[in-house]
Amino acid sequence: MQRLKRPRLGMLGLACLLLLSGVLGLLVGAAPVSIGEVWAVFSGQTPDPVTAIIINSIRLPRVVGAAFTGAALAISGVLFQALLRNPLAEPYLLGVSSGAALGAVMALTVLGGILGPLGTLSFALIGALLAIMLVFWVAVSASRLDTYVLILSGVVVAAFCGAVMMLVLSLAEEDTLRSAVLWTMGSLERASWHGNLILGICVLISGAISFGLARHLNAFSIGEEAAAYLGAEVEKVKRIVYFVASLLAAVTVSTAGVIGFVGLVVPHAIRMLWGGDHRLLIPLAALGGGVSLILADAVARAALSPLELPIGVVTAILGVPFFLVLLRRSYV
Amino acid sequence: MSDVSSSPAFILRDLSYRYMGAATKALEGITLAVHAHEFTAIIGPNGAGKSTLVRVMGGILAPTHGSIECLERPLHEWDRRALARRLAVVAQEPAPTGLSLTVRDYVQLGRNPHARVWAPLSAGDGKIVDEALEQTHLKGLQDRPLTKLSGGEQQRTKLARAFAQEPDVILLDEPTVHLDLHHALWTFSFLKHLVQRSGVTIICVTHDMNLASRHADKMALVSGGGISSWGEPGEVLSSSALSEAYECNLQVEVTPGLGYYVVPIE
Repeated sequence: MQRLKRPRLGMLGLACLLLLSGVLGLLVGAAPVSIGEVWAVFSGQTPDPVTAIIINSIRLPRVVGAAFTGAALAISGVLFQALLRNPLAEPYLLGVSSGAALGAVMALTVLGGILGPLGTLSFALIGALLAIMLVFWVAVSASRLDTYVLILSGVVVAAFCGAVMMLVLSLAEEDTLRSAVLWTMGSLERASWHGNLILGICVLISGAISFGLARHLNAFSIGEEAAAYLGAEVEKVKRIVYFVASLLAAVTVSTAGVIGFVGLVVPHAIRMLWGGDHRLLIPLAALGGGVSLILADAVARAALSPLELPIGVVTAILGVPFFLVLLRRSYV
Repeated sequence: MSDVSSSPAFILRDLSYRYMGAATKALEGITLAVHAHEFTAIIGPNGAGKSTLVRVMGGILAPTHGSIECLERPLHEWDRRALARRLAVVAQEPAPTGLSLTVRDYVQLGRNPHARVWAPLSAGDGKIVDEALEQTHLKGLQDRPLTKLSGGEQQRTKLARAFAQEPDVILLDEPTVHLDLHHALWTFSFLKHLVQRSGVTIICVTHDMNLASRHADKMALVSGGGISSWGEPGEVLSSSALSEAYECNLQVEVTPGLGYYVVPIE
C-alpha cells in the first residue's frame, strides 16, 4: 500500500475529524439533539434547559473523555510496541488491565460496592499499579530491564489476575456479579469533568515525554544495542517508556474499564498510512485514537438506543474488520 | 604503533572482559593503539572475542580490567549522545520486524545524535541523508520498507546510516557477512574511500582476510581473547601465525598489486 505523503495534512485532517466526530457524539443518544440545538447551547442561547444539561453535563464530558481515553490508549500502544519491538503489543498485554479489573471486581463484589464509584476507581488503580510494579520487579536487574522477561512476566501476571478475578466472580452474589462483569467490558458513562481533567493532564504530559523520546523509539526498532550506538541512554529510555505507557493504561482502565483494540489497531493503522517515524506516529495516533473512541462510543449509544452497548465490544467489532482490510491492502 | 604522525582514535591498555558467570575471559590483556585516519582490519577465528571487542570499544560492555580511551578521552567518561556524534558502530542487528522503517527513515536514524529533542530534522540533516543514500546507491530504494531489502541492500543501509552520523570513527562488525564478492569488494572500497577522502578512521572486524589485506593500512589478529599479532597486512598475514590462530594449515600467497591470499591446505 502506498504511504500517504503529507503527514502534516494528515494531522490537520485527523484534527478536523476529531471535531466532526465530537459534534456527532453530541447528537446521538437516547434523547435526540439537533445540530441547531448544539449550536444554540454553545453560542450561549439556551432555549431548552434540559437539552443544555444533556449537552453540557452528560454528552460533552463523555465525548471529551472518549477523546482523551482514545488518545491515551493509542499512545500507550505505540510505546509498548516500540519498547517490546513486538507488533502484538498493546496497552493491556502486561497485566495492567487484569490488575485493574481484579481491583475493581474486588471493590464491587467482596466489598459490595459500598465505597461507590470513586472507591471502585481507586481499587482499579491500585490493582493496576500493583501489577505494573510486580511485572517491573520481575524483569529488572541492577543493570538491565529485560524486555523478554517483561513480556513473559506481564503475560503471567495478567493470567494470574484473570484467574483470581474469575474465582472472585464465581463466588459473587447474583446482583453484584452483573455490575462487576459490565465494569470489565468498559464504558464511558462514568466520564466526568474531574476525571477528564486528570486524563487530559496525563495525556498531555505523557504525550510530551513520548514525543521527546521519539527519535530513540525510532532507533529501538533496530534493536537496543543499535539505539545505544545512536546516542540513546537505553536503560533510562526503557524504564521511562514502560512507566509512561503503563500509567496511561492504568489511568484509562481505572476510569473507563477495559476497552480493547484501540491501543493495538490505531497505532498500526497510522503506521500503515504514514509510516513508523515516532515523531509523527505519536501525535497522529493520539488524534486517531481520540477519533475512533468518540465514534465507537457514538455507535455504542446509537446502535440499540436507548440500550447502550459496552464500548469494548464496539471497538472490537468495528476495529477488527477495518484493521483486517488495512492489513490485507498493506501486503498486496 | 609504528605510525606516530596522527593521534590514536582508540587506546586499549591491558584490557580484559569476562561475561557474567563465564569461566574464562572473552578478552584478556589487550593492548592496542588504533591510529586515526587509518583503516584497521581485525581478523581472527570464530569465538576469538572479536565481537566482544567491538561491544567493549562501542561502550556497550564495560571492561572488567584495564582501560580504554576513545578520541583522547576515557570511554566511560563520554556521554552516549556526544560519543555517537563522533563514533558510529555498525554491528550485527536483529532482523527487521513488521514495525520497521523505510530505508530513508532508517538512514535518518544516523542524525539522531545531532538532532535537537523537540525540533524536526533540519534541511541540513535532509541533505546529509540524501548524500548518504546517494553514496551507497540507495536513493531509488529510499521509500522501501527495510523488511523488503536483499541482504546486500540491508548491509548498505547500515553503511549509509553510519555515513549520515558524520562520525570521525566507524567501528564495523563483519560488514561483508552474507555478501557476494561484488558487494564485499564494493563495501571495502567504500570504507577505504571514506578514509582517503574524509579522513575517517575505520576499524573493521572481518573474516575476509583477502579483501582486508588489500584495503587496510593495519591489521590485528585476535585469537584466544588476545591480540596475537598487529601491524601492516604483510606483517600480520604470515602462514605460521594464521595456521596457529585458526588451528589449520594455511598458506599466505602474495599477488603483486592485489594483496595477499590466504589459502587453506589440507
